[in-house]
Amino acid sequence: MSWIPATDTDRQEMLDTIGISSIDDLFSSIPDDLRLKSWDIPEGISEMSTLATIKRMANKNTVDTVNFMGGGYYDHYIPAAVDALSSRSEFYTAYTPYQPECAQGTLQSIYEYQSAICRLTDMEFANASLYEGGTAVFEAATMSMRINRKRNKIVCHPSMNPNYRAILESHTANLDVEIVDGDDPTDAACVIVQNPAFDGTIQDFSALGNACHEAGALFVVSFYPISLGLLKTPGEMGADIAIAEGQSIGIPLSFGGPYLGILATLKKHVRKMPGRICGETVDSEGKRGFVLTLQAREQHIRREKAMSNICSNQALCALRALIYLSLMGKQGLVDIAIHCHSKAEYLKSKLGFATILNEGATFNEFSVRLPKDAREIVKALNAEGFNAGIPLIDIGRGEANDLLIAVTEKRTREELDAFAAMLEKISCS
Amino acid sequence: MQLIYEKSREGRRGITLDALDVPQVNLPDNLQRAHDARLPEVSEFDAVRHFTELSTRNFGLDSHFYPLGSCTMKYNPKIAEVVAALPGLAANHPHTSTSEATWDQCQGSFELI
Amino acid sequence: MFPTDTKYTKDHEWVREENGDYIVGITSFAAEQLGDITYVEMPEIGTQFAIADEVATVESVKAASDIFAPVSGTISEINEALEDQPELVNESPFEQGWFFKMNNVSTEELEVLMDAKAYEIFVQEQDH
Repeated sequence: MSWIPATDTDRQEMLDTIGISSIDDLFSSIPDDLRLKSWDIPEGISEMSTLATIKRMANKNTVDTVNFMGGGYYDHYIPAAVDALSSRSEFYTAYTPYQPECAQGTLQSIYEYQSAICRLTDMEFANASLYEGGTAVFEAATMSMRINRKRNKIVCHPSMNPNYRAILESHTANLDVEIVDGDDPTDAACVIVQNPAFDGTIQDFSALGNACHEAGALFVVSFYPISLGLLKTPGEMGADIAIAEGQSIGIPLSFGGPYLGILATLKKHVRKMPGRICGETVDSEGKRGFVLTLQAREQHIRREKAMSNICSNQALCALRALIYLSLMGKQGLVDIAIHCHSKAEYLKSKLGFATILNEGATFNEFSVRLPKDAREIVKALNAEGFNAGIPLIDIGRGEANDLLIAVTEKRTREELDAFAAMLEKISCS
Repeated sequence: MQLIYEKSREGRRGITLDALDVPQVNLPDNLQRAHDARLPEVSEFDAVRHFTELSTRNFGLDSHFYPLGSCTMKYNPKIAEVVAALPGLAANHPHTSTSEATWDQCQGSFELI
Repeated sequence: MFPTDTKYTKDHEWVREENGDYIVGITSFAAEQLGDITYVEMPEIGTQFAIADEVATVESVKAASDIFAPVSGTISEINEALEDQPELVNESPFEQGWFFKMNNVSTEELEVLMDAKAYEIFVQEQDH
């Protein structure tokens, strides 16, 4: 199979036109001893066989289960129009938007996406997106150090997703950065909290936000987009930077990606924000247009002093998020959040045989201590068609019997009843 | 061309959910946001018209030649989009890889990687 | 061609004494090279710098350049007008487009800087 259009005849014509005898002549400036002699790549196969091969692998995954797994990524309903619209090839084969005359569609969608994020979070400026929620934490941390130039201490609140914590460690391993756990903003560049917490607990972090500002530290809030249908926003809590994983708003689980890194900030910090920013302007005829702006932050201009070395974004995923938020709309996001929260509370009420570990309110995710080993229970529930959740011991956040359960709007009352009954049956057998 | 916000009309909805089938539970006041997010209020049709129009304002590789860039100027076959969307792959939760207890749910993803 | 009551550095900064303070900016040559200035990132008032330390950053549509301390000293004032009107640097680089003022300046270091004539020759050599 080849999707390169040129035939041997075409190639010969091209060689004749430019006056060389073989394609190898184009690489003549590379010394012979540095040239690749052979490679161990199998012969290509047809499109038909490719599809069959990958389908066979896909069928080895179990996805028909009733899904209660969360931990930062959630099984939310994605409306059909999100796929239909984002699958238009004018969007998914578009080039990077640094040439605004070729990219008004992409640029306007980025502008609308940035605006949606600001309205969702009560922040003042958002960027065009980062890779995903974990590296967004890293970007917020380094942004804080650029703003707070004399400080290199990053404080991670215990609410933080352990995977994000690990990403922060690995990304800063070769930088002069000190990462501590806790909530003390003294001498810190920033304190990073997560709401809802990894274990599902929600709280009002406004007091900690104030404490941060009094201590000269930035206050960073990592949020869960769907939860902001109801929850107090990062802006309301006094956040300087708000970050998130955007998977929950219109992006399939896909075993980890592509996902969507969200970052928003206040006007006073915007020149230190990483990533692309789209702005509104007028063209030479005075008509409204859109263009990437504040580019002097980026590495193609500022080089080693750039805000970040990201020169990309997740435009297609950001577009999906924008379409999702547009379809859900103001009321729809509230409704989904109500459904998620109410259904989770309903499920909790049916788990009297277990202990809820959260000390306080939760949104749609909670931790529970079961009567016996969580992994065994999860395996048994798999066989019954349920993906029961994440055994907390396997992510270093709990004991052997602890399970992290998430409930989305997709879970019907029948599913919740059946899950609770099966969970009780297997736990207490 | 208007922004999606400029096309909003109060009360328009794109997607509605089924009626809540469990008792509604409200969050404590101090944990709630003060005002709903000012997201668009459009019908699905409004959204479809809007984003379809936006797509026509792009240069994409499928429609135009652009002699720019390196990583992005290559054609990808359509089959790539199809396999990425196979439910077995698209609906696989990444945390099935976290615990051995759920590894049998993601053997296909492991093999693919 | 360049103001004569002023001293110049090889990095195209100028410095001029006025009532005990030393005013610093970038030359018309530098401003022209940079293009339309969009933003100047200023130092904090009260900060002490040694000669050749990075003090500020000037951003244009196509570049972001560091501004170095022409002499050692302490920042006493910054030109707040540049916040809203960065174009003053292009329009009036030696007057209204000043960046910051310093005091506690090392006068020995000042002596070593180029005068207007030497700077003019230096700039001409740059163009080759």
